[in-house]
Amino acid sequence: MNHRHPAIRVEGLAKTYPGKPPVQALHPIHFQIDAGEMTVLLGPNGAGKTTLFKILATLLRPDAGEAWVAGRPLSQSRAVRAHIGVITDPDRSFFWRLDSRENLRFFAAGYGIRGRAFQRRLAELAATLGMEAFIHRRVGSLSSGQRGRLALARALFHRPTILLLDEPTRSLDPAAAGDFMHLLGMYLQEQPQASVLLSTHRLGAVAPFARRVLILNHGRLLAHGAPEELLAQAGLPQPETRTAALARLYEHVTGRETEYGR
Amino acid sequence: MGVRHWPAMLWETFRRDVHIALTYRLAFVLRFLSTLFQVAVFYFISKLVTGPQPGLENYQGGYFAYALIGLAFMRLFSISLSGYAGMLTEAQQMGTLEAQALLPVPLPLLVFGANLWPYLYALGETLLYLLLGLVLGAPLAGANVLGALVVALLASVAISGLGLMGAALILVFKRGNAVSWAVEAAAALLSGVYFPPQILPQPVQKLSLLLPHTYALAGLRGALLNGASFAQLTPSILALTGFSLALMPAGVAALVWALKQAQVKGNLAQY
Repeated sequence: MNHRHPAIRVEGLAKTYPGKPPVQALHPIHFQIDAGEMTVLLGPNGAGKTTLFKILATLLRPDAGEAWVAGRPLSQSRAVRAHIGVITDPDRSFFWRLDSRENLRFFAAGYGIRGRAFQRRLAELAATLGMEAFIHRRVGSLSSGQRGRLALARALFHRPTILLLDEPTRSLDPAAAGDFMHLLGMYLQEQPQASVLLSTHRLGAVAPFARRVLILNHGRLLAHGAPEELLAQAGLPQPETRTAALARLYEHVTGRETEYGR
Repeated sequence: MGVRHWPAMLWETFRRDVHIALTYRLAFVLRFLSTLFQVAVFYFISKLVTGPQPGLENYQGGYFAYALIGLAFMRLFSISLSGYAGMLTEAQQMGTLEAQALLPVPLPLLVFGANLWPYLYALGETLLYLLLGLVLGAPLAGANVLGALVVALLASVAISGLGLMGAALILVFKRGNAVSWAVEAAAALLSGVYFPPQILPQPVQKLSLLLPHTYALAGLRGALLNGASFAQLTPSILALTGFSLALMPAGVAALVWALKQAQVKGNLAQY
């Protein structure tokens, strides 16, 4: 990745799903995420978070606007995909009849990682993510936590510079969610130029990592910046914990009761 | 990932599907038994069809040999016709389609790769049919095997074009692969799978000329039962080449278009 470019740059992206009636999932939004930055995307269900992820991952075409991911426009979809690691649905995105290793082998081949390069990377990730115990077990027999780790391993396998993680801790209990974020943090230490856009309903797990926050509601981008700065701009007191700060900010910006645990 | 990696990706897709298939061992046994029973049924039906019959006199071996070729190759053609749509539906239901679409590889390549194992498996079944037929007296000893292979390959390409159109329909309408249904039903009735088209009413016989299956089965019977030379197979080969040149690009274009539509509607993974 050319680091003169922001990791993600979004200019006027908008999306309306066709239908009767059409559903405007994203109003034109603008934002930028710099290299090495972790941004937490917050918003209630139906806010447009998954739509935004899918557009940035090139699974969905916007109606208007443009975005550049790793310096590439979305129209260069294969080049974009080569630079991103994505988690969308850890539970249903694997071949359940195959073991973890065989799943990773298939997906790694999609990035041209085969043979010894695959073996080396598999050994690294299995050790780092604590997957040795279940690397030869069928995915169908894994727990949600183990599948979460496997999803993270797949997303990290090709050492992407940008991670798009759409509610990766959705089906994890609080301890497993904490483990997941800890493992993600280790990756970010190893790859300091890597950028992450992560949505979650678990503020407690992500708060220590949330340097910046994006808040969406009804398809509109309501806030973007460092949580402390946003609270100060709004004239709100700074709570003692980062989790409480995120929750207060969310409630202030969206006008909704927070659904997040504090 | 560049084009030079595509063969490796096709291999990995094939390998993945073999591994998955090996986890369903009972299915192998049942498919094998089904082939045995089907051949036996038509063997005994053929005992009822004796004497000169219209359309059968062109081929050696009587009704059993005629039906054997139809049965053996229709399974292969069915995979070419329905396999692509089946792969998409299965990946949608399992939830793996979006994960595969996220790879820096063209999705049509993965769709094509996912049909390799089913195709080779069906080819194995076709050989099993022929072997059983040989044991039961079908006159295959003087077959033009190379000619039959050329005809089968061309027919597979042509019918795959229709199969890709069916896959495109699945992406757009999610259920109801009208192309596969219509072509398979029409082929079974018109193309000479179970009985010669010559016994159909004249106007209906003409419809059979619109299907690649008709030329394929005529060519295959000629090559396998009569040992027809390449010169004698030329009409079938030319017709199937024409079908392939027309249908394959149309099928690929339809699939690419349907994938773009799914990206606009955001319903790639829905079924």
